[in-house]
Amino acid sequence: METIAVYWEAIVRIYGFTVSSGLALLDFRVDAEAWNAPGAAAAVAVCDPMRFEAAAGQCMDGTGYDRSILMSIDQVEPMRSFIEKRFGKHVAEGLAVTAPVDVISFQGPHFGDRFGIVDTTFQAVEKSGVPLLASGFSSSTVYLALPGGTANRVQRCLAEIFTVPKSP
Amino acid sequence: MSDFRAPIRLDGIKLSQELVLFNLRDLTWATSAISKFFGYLRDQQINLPFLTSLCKSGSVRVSCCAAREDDDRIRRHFDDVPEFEGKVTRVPAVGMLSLFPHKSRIEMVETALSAMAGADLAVHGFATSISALTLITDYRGMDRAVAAIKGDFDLPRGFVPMKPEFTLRQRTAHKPYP
Repeated sequence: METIAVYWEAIVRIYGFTVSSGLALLDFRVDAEAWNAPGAAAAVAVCDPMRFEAAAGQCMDGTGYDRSILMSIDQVEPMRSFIEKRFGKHVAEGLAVTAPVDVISFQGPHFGDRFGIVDTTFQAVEKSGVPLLASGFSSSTVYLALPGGTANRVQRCLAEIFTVPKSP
Repeated sequence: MSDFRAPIRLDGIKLSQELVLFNLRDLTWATSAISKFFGYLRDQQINLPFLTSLCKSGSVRVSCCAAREDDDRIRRHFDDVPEFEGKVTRVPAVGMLSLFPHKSRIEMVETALSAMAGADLAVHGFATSISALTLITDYRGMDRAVAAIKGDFDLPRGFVPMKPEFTLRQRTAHKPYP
């Protein structure tokens, strides 16, 4: 059975923009050996509580993960220490930190089920002229990591195509 | 499971339908190929339920999932655009396993990844949203993945993973393909 619903949406509706500033983007590579190293799993059990803004991983060639984490700058060193315990010193030494970083996040109804959200978002970022450091589109949420101090410029361009409906 | 910490509480796990994963590498945002690719997806009304991008030293990597039914059209596009030659890898038969809530805790992410590694299950990519951690794994291993996660997290009694019972699709009145 197929149910079809038809609606018109000239501008994509979202629930609002959230902007976080002064963050750090950590990226590091974990090869397959480090992933399966003895003690890697045990290190997780004694991991100090640490909070992230967003986290992602890509496995481009099947030999390891390229991981990125957005978190507050004051958690960079504790995270570095944890990475060393879990994956080894050579992974921790390869950790790259970009700071300061701004993050814009937003979500809208059925973002994961409709086409064009990625294209629309990237066109807006391109229009802003701000380089995109990292992005994530997952479960109706969009995260954009940008160089510090540029979020407002990008948000202005996004606001031309994404709108937050005002309550009557 | 270690005795060091009480198991992390999860409220649920959601499973997707079968998807295909494409990894694009060694591109730049200035490359017209990337914007043309996303424009093509829009014109073809192809949805991407998952995407991550990372730019390192000017080189962009994109990892994205599409429905299995859209696999052929996407592959034809990559074959038709010379700039993508040698820069695209495809992983068929994958699925999304979404765990929630993550509560912005790194240890939750690491525990999930360790659980998958411990069960010898592939994780082809992952990303967090506002409340969920989504792992991309082999579609045929998703039941084993759920079992692995259940072993390392605290889930509600009688828990059953949410599986898609229907598919939402956005379409314009005119379909771009037969």
